[in-house]
Amino acid sequence: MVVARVGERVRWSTVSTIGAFVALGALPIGLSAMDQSYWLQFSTRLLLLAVLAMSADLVWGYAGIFTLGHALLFGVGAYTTGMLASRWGWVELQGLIPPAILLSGLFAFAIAIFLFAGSNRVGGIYVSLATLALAYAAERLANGWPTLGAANGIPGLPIPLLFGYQIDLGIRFYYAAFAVFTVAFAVVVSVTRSQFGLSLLAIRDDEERAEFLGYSRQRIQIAALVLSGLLAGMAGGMYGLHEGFVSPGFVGVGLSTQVLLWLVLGGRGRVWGALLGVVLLELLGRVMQDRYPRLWPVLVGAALLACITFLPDGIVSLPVRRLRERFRGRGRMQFSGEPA
Amino acid sequence: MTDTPRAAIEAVDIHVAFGTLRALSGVTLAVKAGSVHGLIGPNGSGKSTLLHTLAGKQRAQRGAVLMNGVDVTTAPASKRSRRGLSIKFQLARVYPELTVADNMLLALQAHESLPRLVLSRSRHRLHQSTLDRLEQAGLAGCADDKASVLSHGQQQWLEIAMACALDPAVLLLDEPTAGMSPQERRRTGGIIAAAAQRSGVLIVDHDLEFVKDLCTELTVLAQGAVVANGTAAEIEADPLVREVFLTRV
Amino acid sequence: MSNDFTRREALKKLAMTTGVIGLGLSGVLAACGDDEETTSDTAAPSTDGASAPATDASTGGAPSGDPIKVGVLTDITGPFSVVGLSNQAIAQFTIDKINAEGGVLGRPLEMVLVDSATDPAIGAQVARKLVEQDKVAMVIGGIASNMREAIKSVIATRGNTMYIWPASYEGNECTELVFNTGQAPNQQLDPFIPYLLENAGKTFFLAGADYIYPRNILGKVRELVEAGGGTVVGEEYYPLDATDISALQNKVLSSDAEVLFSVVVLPLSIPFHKAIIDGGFTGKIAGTLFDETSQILFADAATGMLASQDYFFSVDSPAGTEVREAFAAAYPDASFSSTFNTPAWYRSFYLWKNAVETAGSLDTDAVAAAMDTAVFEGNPGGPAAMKAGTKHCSLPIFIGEVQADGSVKELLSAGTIDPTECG
Repeated sequence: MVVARVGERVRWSTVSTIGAFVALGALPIGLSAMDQSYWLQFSTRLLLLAVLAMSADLVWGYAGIFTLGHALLFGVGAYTTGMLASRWGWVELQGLIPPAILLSGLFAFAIAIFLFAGSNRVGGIYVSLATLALAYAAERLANGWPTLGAANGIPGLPIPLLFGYQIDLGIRFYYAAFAVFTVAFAVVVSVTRSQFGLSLLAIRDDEERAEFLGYSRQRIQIAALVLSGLLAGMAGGMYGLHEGFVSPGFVGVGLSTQVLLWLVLGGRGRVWGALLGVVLLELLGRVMQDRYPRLWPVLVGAALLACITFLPDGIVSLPVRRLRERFRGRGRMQFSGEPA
Repeated sequence: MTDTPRAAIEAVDIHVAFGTLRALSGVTLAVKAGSVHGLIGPNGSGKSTLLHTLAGKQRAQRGAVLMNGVDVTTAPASKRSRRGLSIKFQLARVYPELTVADNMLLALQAHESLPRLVLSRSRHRLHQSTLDRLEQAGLAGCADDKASVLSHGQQQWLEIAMACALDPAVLLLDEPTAGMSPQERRRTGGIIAAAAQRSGVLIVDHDLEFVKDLCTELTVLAQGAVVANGTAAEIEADPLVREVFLTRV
Repeated sequence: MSNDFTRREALKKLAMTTGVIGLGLSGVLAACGDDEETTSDTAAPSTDGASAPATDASTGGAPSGDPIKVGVLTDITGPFSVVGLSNQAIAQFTIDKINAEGGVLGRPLEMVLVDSATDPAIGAQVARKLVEQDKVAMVIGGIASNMREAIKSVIATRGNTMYIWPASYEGNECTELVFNTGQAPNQQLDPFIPYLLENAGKTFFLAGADYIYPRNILGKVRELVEAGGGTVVGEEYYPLDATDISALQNKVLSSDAEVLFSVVVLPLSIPFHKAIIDGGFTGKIAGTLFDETSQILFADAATGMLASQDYFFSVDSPAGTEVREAFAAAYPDASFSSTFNTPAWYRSFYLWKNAVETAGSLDTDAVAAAMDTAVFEGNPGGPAAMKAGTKHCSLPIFIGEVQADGSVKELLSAGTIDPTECG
């Protein structure tokens, strides 16, 4: 992000980004003061799920690959951390998270080779179905493999430490998750603003044209999926530790679908869309669940339908339009290139 | 013939068939470096198919494509591009949702390594080169506009400029003046001539006058076969060619 | 015109944005939070028993003072909702009964119900709500083991709240603050296998779904069968989400076993047991999942099934009969059967009540210490008592045979069987 000099014009997007980060950073203090430990833990979860959503956005919103199995990479991270913590007794974050990131990255690499390598271009729908099949197979495998805990998963994960400092649930874990979120955010912004980000859009919008320019579709798609996997794995490892358990649902089709819903609601191709979608959908679901114990899935579904109909680009596209009208500018927001 | 320099790109006995339809039957053509080579013929003669075969979009059933003597017949488009082949398609194919500057940047950075692209963190590194190229194409003022707002002619120039961005060894142009006014046509001619100083250019066009003025060598295709090959003067004098071009298409 | 502006304006916008977002978010969340609190979250919430004056519980006078919140977590929706709704019913029934008897420490119990929707991920979230937001004194619930595994960390390990798991299961649950009031494998099997060896046959075929519960149970069955001089002629598992089980059926039918020990579960258990009988199986079918619900599920195939549970309707237990009939009258759609965990839910509340009143407070550690040896005389079937140091419950065990009318005839009362878990 550009640092403003005296008198130099500052972009709205930069201001609002800093503002949002400050608000997110101040949130736990406010919630703690109001003795809202439940909402504090709830928010922590949301931050980690937002990282998952951002990683999926890299693949779907920017690279244009409609992935129906993204939770798989998240779950690999969660299971890695879970196994290390419960079978080998590791408790330090600096030891638990890097392997999760590494393994997710490797899985992403293997899956990407399987999906994208080869000179024949596989149509988008087949890639999507393949990702669906992979997530389904992974969930079945996790359900049946005793080493991974089978259906019971890996329960009883410890409260992690960071260089000896205990990361209790509440404010401390929130800030740990916030750090993860910030890292992921920085990576996504950096990558999408980079030249690589531009090539992602080129592949997404016109794959053949990009190849004629000299881009290797395979390499770029593989790189996008690997990057995405690294982020998802980081979020997954933290998430398992926060919840205290890992279960087959972490790799499955259900969670993968939820990821897509977050992006549909929040918006794709704009870095804040992920957090917005997660916050809105989870908050909505949570509030509805209490008030309408039988009806809530219907109500949430209706809200989603309304959103898709009236705001096809997601909620995040809303302030952009209003701002544009207000300032009558061309408003290059984060970068050039609208989402597909 | 041994001291003749290798062709920038050449088609050797290319056969392409779509089912029972024979699009190209034994077409041989060579584009010399530093020259502008025209490819003309009536509709359906196989010009686009030949261009696509040279570019890597179309597979030939028989025959070879060589770039500077190297066989690239089985190489995919992106590999050929990295060897120095650049193509501008018939239909304007800029990225409409990206800005003009980003379109040009896409062309300029295309051969950079993946790690370089990922770690670049922003798009400013090639900013000056991008503006320079746009300046040359007369599009510097539209740098921040979405490419979709450009006029048809401007989009063609953008595409040609993108095709020339990395000083390709081979430049394939499919109908570069389609839909242009005579003024725009003249300008395009100048751009192509300038590009020919560094590249071997193969240009397909329907405007015979345009092609005559610009090209040092011409190949005439009809029904998938080479009918004539030579300088503009030779072609004009050829009675076979006149027959093929009974109606100006 | 662009939408950039000078630094001063930027700082102002920044302050405004931050303020609005931060306040808005906190406000929304706090408002949502407040709506959940039914009683005020004042200095003396449920965890402090000394807050309100207590009526003498033994006189059965109406309880008074701040209610004690009890978290009830079960699958109200989803594939297990039939069982979940029954759990909800027995929870409400028992709480009402305890309140009518004077409450706990003279204070009324208040049920806070959450739906885990047969999904462990949702279970973990609602469990967290119970612990962090409703701040319940204890949580009871869970139907399948994977639910227990997902929620026990949230409730017990991290939430420092007692968790009662009222279901018969595969064993090996020894987590601190987790108390198991259902049957452990040895309780159902130690008296059962010797009885089968003596009365049903010496050759056993073991069949079950491929997950931890059947594997643990059948592993133990094999141990006991072989220790008792019997033989296992076959042991087969099928994948949980299989759609066809005919291979297993054929293996059983061609095995000539005298006893089929079946831990085949729904939905395939219905066609399976029917096919075994239709196929002419002449041996006895025994299992840990049979009771009064078997005839509803398996129709004629259920007749003659041998079962081992902590309670059957036919058992001579005045306390059990009285509760069962009152429950059936109040909640005719629910089931009191053992496989629905109903007797376990019932006794759990009373065991906990006993622990709290022994401890004299709601302090988690004190109650947990007292729970270690809690007792409940009025348990259906016979007195139940937590075995010290195990966090499991000594229970009366009965062996019965399913009759043509669906009832279970008691064949043997094995007495009180101690759990051998966590010893």
